[in-house]
Amino acid sequence: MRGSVNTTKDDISNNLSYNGTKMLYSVLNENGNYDIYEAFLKGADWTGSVNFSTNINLNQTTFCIV
Amino acid sequence: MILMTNFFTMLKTVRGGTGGYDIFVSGPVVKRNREYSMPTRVNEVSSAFNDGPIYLHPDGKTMYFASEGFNSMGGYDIFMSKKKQGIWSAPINMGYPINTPYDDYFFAMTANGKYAYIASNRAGGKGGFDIYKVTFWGPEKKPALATQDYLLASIAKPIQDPELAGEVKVAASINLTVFKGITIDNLTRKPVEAMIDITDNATGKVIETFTTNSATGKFLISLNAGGNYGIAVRADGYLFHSENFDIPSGADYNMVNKTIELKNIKCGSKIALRNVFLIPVNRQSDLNLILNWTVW
Repeated sequence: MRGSVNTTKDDISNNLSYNGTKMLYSVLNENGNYDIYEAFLKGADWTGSVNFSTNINLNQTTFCIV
Repeated sequence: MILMTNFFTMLKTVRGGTGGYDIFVSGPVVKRNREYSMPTRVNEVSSAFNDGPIYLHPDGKTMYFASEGFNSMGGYDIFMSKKKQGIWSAPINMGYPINTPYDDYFFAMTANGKYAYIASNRAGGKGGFDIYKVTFWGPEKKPALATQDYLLASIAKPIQDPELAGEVKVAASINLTVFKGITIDNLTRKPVEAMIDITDNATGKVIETFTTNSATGKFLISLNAGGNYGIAVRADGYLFHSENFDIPSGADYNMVNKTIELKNIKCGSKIALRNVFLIPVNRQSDLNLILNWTVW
């Protein structure tokens, strides 16, 4: 997939806005847990990945729930 | 992993049953509130191995799920099942290149059905699981050129870049419209929790009943395109709001965004009822129902 979403770690997602321009996805962090990120589709590239605050990304595995 | 759609259906993977994680479904006991029934296993999509995670398409009738069972080509594969008359069909393996002998799961699709995203640990990625974009081309197209022309063209200008074009027109029409909106106080502009009934005016039947978000006043449902619908909005302390609206047909995917301004009830307030149908009132209970909605 084009853009800056995929890393050398586990990247997974099954949360997509209806028009396909916003994605919530999870990335394996250095502690072995998953953090939730948000990315935006600009043209053909997924950019602007934002790690959610520590209020959501706790020190444990967090996946997106819709 | 849990997936909820419009607060009406909940699909969940739970360990147990036929083996490994299975897929369970639950619905609200009463549509207007959020109390859910005990989940029951969906046997049609639960194998003897791990099943899930699940993705329910916005049309509410198509489920995509990962499973190690059924006719998986190795590890987790992604399967599709459609609900017809309340029963989920036998799973269909999405096939290569969506599925590989590696683990392929976490499927998500755009509402128009043109694109999807999956997570896979197949060879060739950046490491671990990566997210891949899937483009659905629709039904197979007939070649526009004769075979000889193809051969000449391939020799004169070999294809260098196999990457798909950014925009792909899918022939199959889904006719799905996402109807989203918000209920607010017309003076303070603050969100208001309200109960909404959506009526299909062609049949006169209420097809959706739900409550808007108590904190944000927002709601979101999917409707079939090409219909005329009535919306009735009720909230404590506010005038009843009703109107009709059309969902145009023809487009693969539409999104209708609506702000519903509710008026505070005050003596002397006036209201316009925009989708009132006159019917004979034969029973006192019917008359009482009408009077209850009327503010004198």
